[in-house]
Amino acid sequence: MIVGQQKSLDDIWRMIAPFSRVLVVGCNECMAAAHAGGEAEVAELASALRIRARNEGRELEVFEFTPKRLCEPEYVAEVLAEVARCKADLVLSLACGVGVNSVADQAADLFVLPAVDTLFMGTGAEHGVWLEYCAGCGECVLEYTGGLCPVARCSKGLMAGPCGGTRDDGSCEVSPDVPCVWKLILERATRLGTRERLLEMPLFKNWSKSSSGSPRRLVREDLRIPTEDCKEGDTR
Amino acid sequence: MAQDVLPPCHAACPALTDTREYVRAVADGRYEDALDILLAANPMSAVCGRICHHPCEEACRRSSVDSPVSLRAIKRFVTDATREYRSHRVPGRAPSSGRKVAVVGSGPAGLAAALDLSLSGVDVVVYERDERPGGMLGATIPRYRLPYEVVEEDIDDIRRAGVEIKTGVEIGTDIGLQDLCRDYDAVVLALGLAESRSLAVPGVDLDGVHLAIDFLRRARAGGMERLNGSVLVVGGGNVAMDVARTAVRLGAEDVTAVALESVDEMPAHKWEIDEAHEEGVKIINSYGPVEFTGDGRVAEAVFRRCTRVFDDGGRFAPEYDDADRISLPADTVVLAIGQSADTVAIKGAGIEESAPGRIKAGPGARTSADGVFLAGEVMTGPGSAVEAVASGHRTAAAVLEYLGVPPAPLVHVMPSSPAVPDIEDIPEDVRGRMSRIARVSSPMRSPAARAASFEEVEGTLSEAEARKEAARCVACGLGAEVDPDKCVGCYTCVRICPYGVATVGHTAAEAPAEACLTCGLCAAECPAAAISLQRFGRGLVHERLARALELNPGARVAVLLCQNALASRRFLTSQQAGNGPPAAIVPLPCVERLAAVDIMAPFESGAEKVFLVHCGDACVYPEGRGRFEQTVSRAAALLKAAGLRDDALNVWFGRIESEQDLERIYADSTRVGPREAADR
Repeated sequence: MIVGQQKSLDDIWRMIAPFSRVLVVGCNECMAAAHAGGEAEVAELASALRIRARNEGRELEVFEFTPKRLCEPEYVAEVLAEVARCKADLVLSLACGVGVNSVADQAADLFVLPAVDTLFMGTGAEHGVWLEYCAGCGECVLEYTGGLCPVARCSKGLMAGPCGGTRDDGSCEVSPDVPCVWKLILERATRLGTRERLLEMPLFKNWSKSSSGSPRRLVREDLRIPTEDCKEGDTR
Repeated sequence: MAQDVLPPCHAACPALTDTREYVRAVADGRYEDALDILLAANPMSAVCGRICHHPCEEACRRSSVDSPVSLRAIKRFVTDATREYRSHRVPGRAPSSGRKVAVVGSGPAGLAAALDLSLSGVDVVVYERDERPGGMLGATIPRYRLPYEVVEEDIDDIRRAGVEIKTGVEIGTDIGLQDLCRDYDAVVLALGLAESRSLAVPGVDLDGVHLAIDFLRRARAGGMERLNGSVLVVGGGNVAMDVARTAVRLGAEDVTAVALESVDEMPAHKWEIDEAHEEGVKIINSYGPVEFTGDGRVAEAVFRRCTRVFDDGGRFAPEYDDADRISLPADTVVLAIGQSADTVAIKGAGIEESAPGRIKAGPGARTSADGVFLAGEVMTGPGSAVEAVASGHRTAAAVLEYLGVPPAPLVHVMPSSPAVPDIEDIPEDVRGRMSRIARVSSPMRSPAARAASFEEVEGTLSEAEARKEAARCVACGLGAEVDPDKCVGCYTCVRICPYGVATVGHTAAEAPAEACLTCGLCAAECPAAAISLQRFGRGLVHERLARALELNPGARVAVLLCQNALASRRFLTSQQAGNGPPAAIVPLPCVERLAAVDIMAPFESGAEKVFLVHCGDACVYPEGRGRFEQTVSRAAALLKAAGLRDDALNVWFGRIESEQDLERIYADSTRVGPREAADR
């Protein structure tokens, strides 16, 4: 799942200052599971905005809408219909950044603003705790590291073993809340008898496949539905 | 995952009273609604609040945790608390069908049948040979269990529904059954079992040997002389217990019931036996009478040991050991060994009897005579009042069908097959996590005080007690409902359920009805708003807030309170808490169920301050308190960010027993601020 966190109400309030009819839009998938932007958080944020508006004597209409997700064009179409219905002048998104971009791409004349900071891909390890597990680097090395990712989980992103700063309790010298993933990798490899696999890890990693390269795009010609404008081999 | 289940208490009631709903109405403070729910199934609800054998309680799923909810006591509270409302309550009748029915007998079966027929637009006359209606309820059930005024409450209601009752008229003597058949479109015989059976043993004709029904009838009418010396009651059923306890009250020095059955086989309800014991009645088991002796008046009774009462097929076939005999001194003997119908009404009417004192019933409660129907014990054999009511409903349906008259919407339609509850027991692991909460039972007078008079032995729960007891109901089947289209499978519900009930299946979260205790924490926490409680829907706070604001427009203070915290519903209609400012008082089934957005709702409506009242140690879900406090802190963080003052949100824990407690809410509440670690 993608993990995110709602921005502070002050930040959101500042952002929406020019608008008077705000449609708060959530995502009932990742952002719900992240307790940042599901239907319940949409209702909470909308309520907080109404209360603040009332408190400050400001004219503000706040509407709520939570599609299943916001990261497909079809869901965006649902949102746009809702915008028209309530004559909103702003979409305030509690979806991840993908949702905000999706709306902006499809509605040239509509304002859309993020009320969530999109953080990472990770796990809801326990109620109220989320951990980053994947950095989407584009070239997975988990086969060598026993399923534990040094790219996402090493503070320094080291690819060839621990830095030497591992604390006695096994945590990272950068942050005591973070376990040293290289220590975990080595312990796990020892337990599973796969330490030699670590030596097989490629010496060089192609970082152009990660977000450090150009914006990424995936086209599956085996799936794509051919149209007049989009012939086979076209990778727009 | 719809959970439209039939709770065991509801299914166990012979008249199918919607138990869960009347208990819920009591918890809500809707006592009049509770009465309507009761009367919809059972027009003899005031009576049953006193004397019902309450199979609902035997079936209560709470039994497996601690003890069943005191349903009969709650029912009694409802009928006692709503007398004024009831006296003005006039059930609407269907337009006249032009048909006429005579009902013979004004016991619970006859009255229930008469009511259904009358509601459906049939003109009904009930004939009662006694001077006052009620059948056994008025004539033989001892006053200490059932004062006649209570019977009258139920009967008045039935009269208001258009039923005419003619007392002092005996069918078969004053009017012939053939006359009724000629004058009416149908006749219902609800004769009851009004005759005691006697015994063919020597000495049964001696002075001082009575039959139970005659004895009780005379005692009830105040015509029974004081008793002296030893009283022997022959029998082990409920009537025998009534006789024995009546004898105690009539002054007998020594009362002994001699039952054919062993302790475990005794047909009397356990609580009747216990109460008799407490009042000094001795019980001798496994002996049957051989003879009564005395010179003109009974002086001694001889019994022999009964080695077994029932044969292998469960049929009554007593066997005795003649060598094992006991003799007991007896100044009075009362035979309480069973009853039969007094069939004077059908003499010469050509109606078949299946056995002496029993009328043959065909399908649809029909007798062998066209248009003549049966209801109650004369058809079913000995039973309880509520069973007689159920029988009356069924017979009324058969009569309406015979007459071609459709049953009115208010008529309680009984299913043709027995109701089966469709909810399993509370699973053992869930039970293990539940709090044990002491049952509140009806107050009972001390055994000594009870034995000294015919005053009613049992009292009515106070409002506070009834509300406390109603809160023990786990509202079987009204728990979490998951909207699978919204559920994201995030495991929040699974992680926070205090009872380990919620699971996530292939498509969505689930909370099996039999395990869910309806606390609602999952609904409060679900980020996708996918969970709601049947008894606490997502819109409930807004609904009740709107109602409170209607009562008190412009209130700047709102009190969201757990209605279980209230000892009385009068606090619900308060315009303000104590001497505080005008307040919108918003009662809720539980405040732990509140989501942060619910807590914020009053501020959207203009409240400047909100007080949350948690029922404190009285909470039936103490496991959820920590979660509640976290939710309140979260709401406080949001409210602070929205610019509200630090004292906007306040929490108070405890029960509200008095107006002073209401004031304490203002004075003693704890101001809630955002948690240190709150993320905004």
